[in-house]
Amino acid sequence: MRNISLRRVAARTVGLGLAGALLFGALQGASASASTLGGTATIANPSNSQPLASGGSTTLFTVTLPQGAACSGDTANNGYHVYSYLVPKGTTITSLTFVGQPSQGYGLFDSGGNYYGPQNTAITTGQIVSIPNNFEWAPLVTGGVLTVAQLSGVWEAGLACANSSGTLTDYWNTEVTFTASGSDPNGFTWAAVPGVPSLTPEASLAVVLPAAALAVLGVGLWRNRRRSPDPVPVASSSGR
Amino acid sequence: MLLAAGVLGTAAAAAGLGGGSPAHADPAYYAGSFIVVGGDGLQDVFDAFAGEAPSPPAANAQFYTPLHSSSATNNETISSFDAYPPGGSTSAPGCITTKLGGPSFDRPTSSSNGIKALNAAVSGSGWEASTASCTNALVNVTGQIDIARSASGPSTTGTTLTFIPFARDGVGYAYYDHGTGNASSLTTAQLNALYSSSTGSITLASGDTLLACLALPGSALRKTFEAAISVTDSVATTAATANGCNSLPQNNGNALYGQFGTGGTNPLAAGTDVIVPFFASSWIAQADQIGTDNTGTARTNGVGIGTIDGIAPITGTIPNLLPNTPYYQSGYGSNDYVVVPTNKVSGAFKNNALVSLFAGATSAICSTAAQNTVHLFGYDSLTSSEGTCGDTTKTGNS
Repeated sequence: MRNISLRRVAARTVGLGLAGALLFGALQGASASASTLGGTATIANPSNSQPLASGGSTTLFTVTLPQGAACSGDTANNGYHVYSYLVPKGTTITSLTFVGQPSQGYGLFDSGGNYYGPQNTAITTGQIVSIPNNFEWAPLVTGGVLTVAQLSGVWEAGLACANSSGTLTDYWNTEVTFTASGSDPNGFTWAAVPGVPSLTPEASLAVVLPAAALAVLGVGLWRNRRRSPDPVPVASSSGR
Repeated sequence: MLLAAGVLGTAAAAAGLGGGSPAHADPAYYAGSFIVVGGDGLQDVFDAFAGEAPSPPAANAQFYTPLHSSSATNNETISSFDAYPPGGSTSAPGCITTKLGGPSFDRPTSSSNGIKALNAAVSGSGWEASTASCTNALVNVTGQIDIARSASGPSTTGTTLTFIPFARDGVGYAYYDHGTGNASSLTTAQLNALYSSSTGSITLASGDTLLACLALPGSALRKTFEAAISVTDSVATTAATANGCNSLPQNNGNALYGQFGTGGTNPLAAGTDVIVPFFASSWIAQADQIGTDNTGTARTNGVGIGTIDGIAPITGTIPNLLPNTPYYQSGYGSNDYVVVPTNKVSGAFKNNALVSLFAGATSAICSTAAQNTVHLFGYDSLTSSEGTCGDTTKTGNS
């Protein structure tokens, strides 16, 4: 059994290769609409888009996403929309649904106290465009949504895409810690760490899945090579 | 005086608002503005609230200070889509795209259509017009519609939508009687008998035969008129159908005259007259040339607005027509509403700009300036017995 025929090796290799290639190809073919779960959102200074690690309740900010960040589909043709969310740490973000607003928690508000979402994507590409540059956290308290005590703690915030059924398809996250502050006009400050919680994988499925496929392919080839130690397999050991 | 108070000079406004108008009837895109859809009765005053009425490319367009939310809520404005495309009618409304990157969907042509579309935007269930659809499929309109303008209140119970009253109108009828005046004044009893008739006709004391017509099914104009004369829609439909005029465009005297007037598709012989429901406000705005005039030819050829139970709906002369307040306060008066998703004016996800614009007695639409615009377009402000401007207690699911 240690000697396998050239035909079987070739067949296994080709088979694994085909499987990997098909998976990779399928994902590559869908790259414009590949799902991003657990991407990184960064709270940023609206004047220069540089990361903003902390601020007061009325500090204006924007949210930046990786270049080309896009929903799995667009609004005009596929009914996808962009929403914001803010949920307590520990919430499974992929469990959120969106019909006009998130099914749990809150969201990002502009300085006028207006919730961000649902918003249209760019046509065809589904890219997330026109993110406001006047977000602030104060409306969570000034609008009577939460008290400072309720807000204090660690939250997951970010932007998400939902399909026409309201199912979350993509999201980009940042972790925000709110702390009570006697010196702030609304009684709290915040600090943000871009990205997903430490125990949550942070990578696009468009990267993870092809990588996994290639890994499977590589292991398969490696195992074939171990089963057939000769650099050039013998022609036959079947006893013919 | 109202004109002077409410209207900016055209040239100055054109400069201030960025110059030329786009060559289409619908608003230019403006990030941050709230999208309004609905019937034609309120479209001109909402065009004025958006800054220009009638919609471009109307030759008689005038510019107004746009209704806007408070500075604390970022001075947000509205963009209002008419019930029909420029030069067109509700029978061929076509599609609209209300926001950048949004889908193309059926233009709502009436208050009830606007409310249905708004409901679809709230629920994500998809919107398709029941007639003359340009999509022939449900379209997801989530995020594409923020407000419906409605000339009638809620028709079903529930809390999904909030109907915010802001003005008072009077429903009546427009008539064509060959200039005899025989149909110019009717009683509620006569109107009830006419629209209850299976033949859609009655004989007047003058000996003339009077025919009944109706506006677009589902329109607030039709519903409000039927309610005022105590006739159900199914009964009134029978009457109007008998005359081949069950679905005339709302507040469109030219459509009435075009069918029954001299040279029309079905011209009436002398001694046979015809009427159709008409909002007094729309008559005023059209005749005074501050709204889209769909009645000019008809007025020239003798189509008028009728008196009911001895009270005329309008006073004054063109171009300074005014509501006749006793009529608006009679059983023919009706409130006009801004319809918004309830969760946008209350709760954690309320939109403060929307609240600033429409909710509460101190909202922008209840301001003196906005109410002056309301008057200009033929409406009265609400009295305490009729309702409170900005009240958010009236809700419904449609």
